Amino acid sequence: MTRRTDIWLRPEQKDIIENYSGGKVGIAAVPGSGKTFTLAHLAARLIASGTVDFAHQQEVLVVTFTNSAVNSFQARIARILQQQYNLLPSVGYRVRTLHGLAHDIVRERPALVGLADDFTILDERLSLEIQRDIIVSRLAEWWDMLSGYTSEEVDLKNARRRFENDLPALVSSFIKRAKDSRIEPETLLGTLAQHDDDQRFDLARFASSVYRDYQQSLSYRGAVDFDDLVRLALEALSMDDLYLQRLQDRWPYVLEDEAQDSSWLQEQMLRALSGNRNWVRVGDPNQAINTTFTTAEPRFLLEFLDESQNPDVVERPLSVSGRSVLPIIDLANELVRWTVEEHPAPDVRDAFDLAEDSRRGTRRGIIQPTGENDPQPNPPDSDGYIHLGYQPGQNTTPENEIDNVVAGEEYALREWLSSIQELPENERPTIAVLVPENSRGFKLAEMLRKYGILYEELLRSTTATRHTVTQLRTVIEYLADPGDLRALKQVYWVLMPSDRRDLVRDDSDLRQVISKFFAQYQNIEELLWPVRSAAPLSVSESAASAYPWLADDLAEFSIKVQRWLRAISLPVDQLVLTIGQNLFTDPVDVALIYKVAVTLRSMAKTHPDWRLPEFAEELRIISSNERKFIGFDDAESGYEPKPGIVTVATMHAAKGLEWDRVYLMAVSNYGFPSALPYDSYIGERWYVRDSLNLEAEVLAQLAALSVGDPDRYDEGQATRQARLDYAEERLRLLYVGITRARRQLIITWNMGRFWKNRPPNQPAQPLVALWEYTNQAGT
Amino acid sequence: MPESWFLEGPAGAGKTTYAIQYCHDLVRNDVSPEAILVMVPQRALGRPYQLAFTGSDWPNGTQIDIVTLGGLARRGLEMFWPLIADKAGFAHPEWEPAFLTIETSQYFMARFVNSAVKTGIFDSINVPPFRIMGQLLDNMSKAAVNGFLLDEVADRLITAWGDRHSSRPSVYRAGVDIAQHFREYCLQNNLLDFSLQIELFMNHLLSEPVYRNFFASRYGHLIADNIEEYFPVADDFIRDVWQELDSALLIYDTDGGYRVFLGADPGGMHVLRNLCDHIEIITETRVISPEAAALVSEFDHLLALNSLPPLLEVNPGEIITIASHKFYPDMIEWVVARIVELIAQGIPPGEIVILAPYLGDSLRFVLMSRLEEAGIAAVSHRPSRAVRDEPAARAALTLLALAHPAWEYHPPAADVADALHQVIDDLDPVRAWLLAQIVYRPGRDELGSFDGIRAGAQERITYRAGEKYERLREWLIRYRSEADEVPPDHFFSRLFGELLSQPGYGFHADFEAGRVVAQLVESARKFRRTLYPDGVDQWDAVTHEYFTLVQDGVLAALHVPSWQQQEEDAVFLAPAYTFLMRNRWVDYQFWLDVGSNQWWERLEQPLTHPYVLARNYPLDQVWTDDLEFRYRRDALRRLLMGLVRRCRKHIFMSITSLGEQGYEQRGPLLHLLQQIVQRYGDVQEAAE
Repeated sequence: MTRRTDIWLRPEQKDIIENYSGGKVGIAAVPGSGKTFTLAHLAARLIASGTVDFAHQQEVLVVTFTNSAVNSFQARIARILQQQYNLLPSVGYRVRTLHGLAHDIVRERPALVGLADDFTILDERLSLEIQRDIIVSRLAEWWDMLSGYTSEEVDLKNARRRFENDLPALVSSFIKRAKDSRIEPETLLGTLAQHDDDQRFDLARFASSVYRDYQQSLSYRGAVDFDDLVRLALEALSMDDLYLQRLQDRWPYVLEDEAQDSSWLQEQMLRALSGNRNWVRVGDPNQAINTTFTTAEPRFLLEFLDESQNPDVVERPLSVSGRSVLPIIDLANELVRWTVEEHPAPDVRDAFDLAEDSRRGTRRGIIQPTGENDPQPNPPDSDGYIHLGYQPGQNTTPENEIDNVVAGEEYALREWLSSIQELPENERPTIAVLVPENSRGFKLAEMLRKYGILYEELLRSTTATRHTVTQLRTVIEYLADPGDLRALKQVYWVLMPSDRRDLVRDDSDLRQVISKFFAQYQNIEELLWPVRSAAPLSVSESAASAYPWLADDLAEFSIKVQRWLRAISLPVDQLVLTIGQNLFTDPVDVALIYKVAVTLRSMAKTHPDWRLPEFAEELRIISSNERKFIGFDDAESGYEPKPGIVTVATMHAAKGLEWDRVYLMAVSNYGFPSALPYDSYIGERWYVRDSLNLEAEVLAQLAALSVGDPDRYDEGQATRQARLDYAEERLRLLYVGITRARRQLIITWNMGRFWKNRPPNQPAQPLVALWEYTNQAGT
Repeated sequence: MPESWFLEGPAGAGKTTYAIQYCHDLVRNDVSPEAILVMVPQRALGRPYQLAFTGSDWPNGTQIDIVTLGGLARRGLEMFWPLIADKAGFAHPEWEPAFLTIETSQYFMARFVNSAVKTGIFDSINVPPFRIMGQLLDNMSKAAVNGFLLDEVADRLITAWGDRHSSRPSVYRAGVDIAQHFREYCLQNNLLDFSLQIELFMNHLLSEPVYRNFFASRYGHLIADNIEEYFPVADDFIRDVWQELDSALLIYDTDGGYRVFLGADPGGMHVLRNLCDHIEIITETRVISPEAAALVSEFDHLLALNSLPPLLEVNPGEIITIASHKFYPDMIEWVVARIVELIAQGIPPGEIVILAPYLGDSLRFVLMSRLEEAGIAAVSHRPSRAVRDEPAARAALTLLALAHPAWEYHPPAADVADALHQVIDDLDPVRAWLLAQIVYRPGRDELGSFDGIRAGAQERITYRAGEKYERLREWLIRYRSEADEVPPDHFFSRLFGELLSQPGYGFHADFEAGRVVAQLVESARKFRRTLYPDGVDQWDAVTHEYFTLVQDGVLAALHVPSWQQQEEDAVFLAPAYTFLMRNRWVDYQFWLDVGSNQWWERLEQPLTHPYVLARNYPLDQVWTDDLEFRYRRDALRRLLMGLVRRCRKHIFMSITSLGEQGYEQRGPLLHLLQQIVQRYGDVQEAAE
């Protein structure tokens, strides 16, 4: 093994990277302990040490949770191989998400699981649309049965409307879970038929029938959805031992990142692929924030680490973190301790793992600061700042909370940003405002815009993706209605380079000249295809002398539009590519447009009757942030916070990232309930009787049916359990939020939108507990 | 017993050149050209012979038969139908047979498949009905070209499936039941799909003395080229007629067999050498460089023997350049830039091919338009495409719908505007849109007249365009009065001939659109002739049926073949296998998307199997992953060696880390190249 340069490793990291040669290893890693770093170095060392045989196409398989993690892993391993070992950067490993891995497995042997080689993977939106269509077409005949779930105290008409609105998500969750549990609709319907008169299962009965129709509809299209992909991959592995063996040979080492988010299916798949041989699982059970209504559970990792259950698993800790100042580490540790020992609802005290580690004389979930000589030590305490925006008896409206964070209080962004203006740009600290849900993020972003504060969104899709798609959409919208002068003007405006747009924005004369120019072409064809082909564009003499570039700019614009109009007969992907070629030169934009084209083409296949207005609508949905669209942008390639620019993100999206200064907003008992009597829950709808959480209930019905034992289902029990599960997950989400901060942390809360009509939200219990702790500690 | 030769060698050894010379020699020795039968596995492979036998040194007015076995069978059946119709079990031997195309076979198969789909028998596989039809027809063809009974298809598939737990065996059985119903229907109605044509020819016609006499008196000399691409039934045929030949020349490409996944049997065909008096084996190829030969050897060793060959003195890396890109569009830009450079150096475009394992429409379009922008002549292999992807066909169908308001199919206004823009020369898209907004109201019986619209609007649309629109409108109205008398293909041919191809109309100078409409005419004509060979009293319902089938996707595909001559004068863009089956040599090849898994994936379908349904596949063998892996490696080996052997100078390869769909790529070809790079080190890497 050749090694060019050595890097400094913490003892725990060194132990894992340099001493691992095989077998099953479980690593519980605290936030900031460098688990991606450690896993990437381990992968690179396994490749470089020759244990992976290139000639037989062997690879280290790395499985992680998100696409962005895939990209950052790849980049990191490539860099280590090249710089540290002087090897080819792209050989010897494969990094995948669970779905990406499943896709590889199915793609290689599609016929094994009943697919043709050109099977389609249905976009999430399309699959929901199919389900919605089935629901709508069947609802009338089922309504009498389903109305049994509505509360008698509410307006039935209104309730029906809301119920209909919520049903698709409910059914989708049911279908997803049934697939995760590998249960066919026929099996469910068979069991239900034996209990025909049991009304407790009406919702499951309805969902099962939609599931059956939905699967038939997929089969008819030769398509699968994302959940099928994982199910089918497992089916392929269990159906052909030799195929499994070939894959086991191909991937002699399986490294699993974010193992706390591992689902039952993922565990099955990796257990099979690793052949129970060389399997390294890394995760932080205390950061499991994707458990609600999924089969992901930190339990899988904890059980793996449990010596009594898995004596052949070796546990290696990653407990040292140099990310944050000590007071923030202390606060995070206190949240864990308080929850485990003092949480007012004893049933949620196991939200965190705080197992004793007798060997090291410590507890597993506690973050340890760095030791001496660590080249990446914790920032000095003098940099630390914690503000917990809670005072007993003091209330804050949602609007005030945003005001306070943006410009109102001494900790506000505006004041603080102006205080760092002196610093050189690249030395400015990084800042994030983290919110529990997207809608809060959008509101905040609005306010930041108002104050002219620079920010980037990490909400549903990124600003860059949306901007590119918006440009494309504006063009398509015009092409769908080529006589619309306003739409054409909009195209001109949207396509203007940003410096030119600033110029126009600041110059009212110029704006008027442009408006006048378009206004004279009420007959739009005279602008684009003048009868006298040589007719010059009518820009007044004075305008031409004041803005000499304008006539050429408009002429060029009109040529572009002509070219696009001529292309509208083309299939939609080709039209999009034609437009894209004229509009974009940045490789990321070009690649994004290519991806949009391929996506729209697959939509056109499913909807042969769609024309430009429908495609424009599709683009509008992407660009207006209603739907996540994975582009080739920051979200894909690993987001890097920019100094001095505010990142607005959900706490979920912030996982894996860190900033110098972090604001956590809306930490109230609505977003972070504590399973106490006065808490309310997002999943419990006002129109449903007995405060049932229908999603939890229908999944419980499914669970009982899947084992063929309907008596296991006890109505209401799942709702109660869902409250506990949710409270636990939100505690972990808060922990994730806190541990994103390197130096400064501000936590605020608000009373909720309905504080005038309903009991207002309270500060979250853990916020109160942490406030009390900091007061006692005097920090 | 003929005097016979078996000529074997790699691509580029000069085998076809030898065969052409052999024909010349025969003719010089007073053999009539008409007595020579040249058999090729695919029409495209007959092109060198067509060119050779039309040259100035060929006797005027004489023709050699260059055929595929399918072509020979069809011709024989057309001529000698009465001889065999009764014996073969046709219900109406006195009627003419109807030869089905893939489209019309699917049409008849549809009724059986659709009703089976409704019973849920195919629910356990995720395949749309039209693909089920295709796979069942494929199974029938496989049975025919291998000489199996249909029952054997199910038996083989079920045995090969093994004891895996699934409902697949019952699905296979159901598939064969449907095929048998379809066959029964064909026998009842004198319909001859491809499988039935082959079976009738081999099992009936070939044993008819009258046909034997005809064949023996017509052909004395057989030249069978590229026999490694033949189906097993061709082996049966050659053996069957062998004794009646005066001479035979069988040509075998050592590393060919590119159609194995379609049922070709190179191993079986190789045994034909035992029939021949003379066996010539050429090992050298005249075309490629030592570096290319070294690369061939690397691929051969790595894939066939799974071992590394001894390091060669010649560096195979010298004929390749590898470039790594992140995104697809980066790759496209790189390819176009290299081609621009080559052309600037004076390389003729025809000496450059761009090859991809799979050529999606988006990739094809972008590459073609980028080359066009760069002013480089390029032609692409055009796969079958949905009618809606052909703007000219879509315009013609919109006009068909407008001509038949009684169908109550109302095209969207955007389609009407698009059709008007395409067919009327002076009508730009904006004016076409404006005109459509005014004259077209979905649900109204006819298009409004130009004279009936406001003067202001007339002026905007222009009188010139208005006049042409008016002629189109009148044509449609006139046609409507006689719609019952006009079959669907006549609508398209008349519309094209009487109007659209005339000066002032859009297809006058647009040859591409003309070819698309010609294919549409052909599709409608075959539909009419097959389904309604005796005509009907009123054609309107037939035309409507045709239109509906196209709209529903049953008659979805239009295959517009590219002209081979065009391919040879321009940069040719094609899937790798398509290029191989052209059997051409070029100076420069570009291999796109080298990381893709598609380089070694076969067309995998759950209801059929090319290897299990092959004659030499053991009847009792389960198809395991080992076999799958071995066959794939072998197919990849043949493909790569075939491509390199057809390159005289240099191969540019592009790796994109993310595929077209955004997935990271880790295909087997990438691994092979990495091994070669590691061994020889100094491969040119053009990292961008």
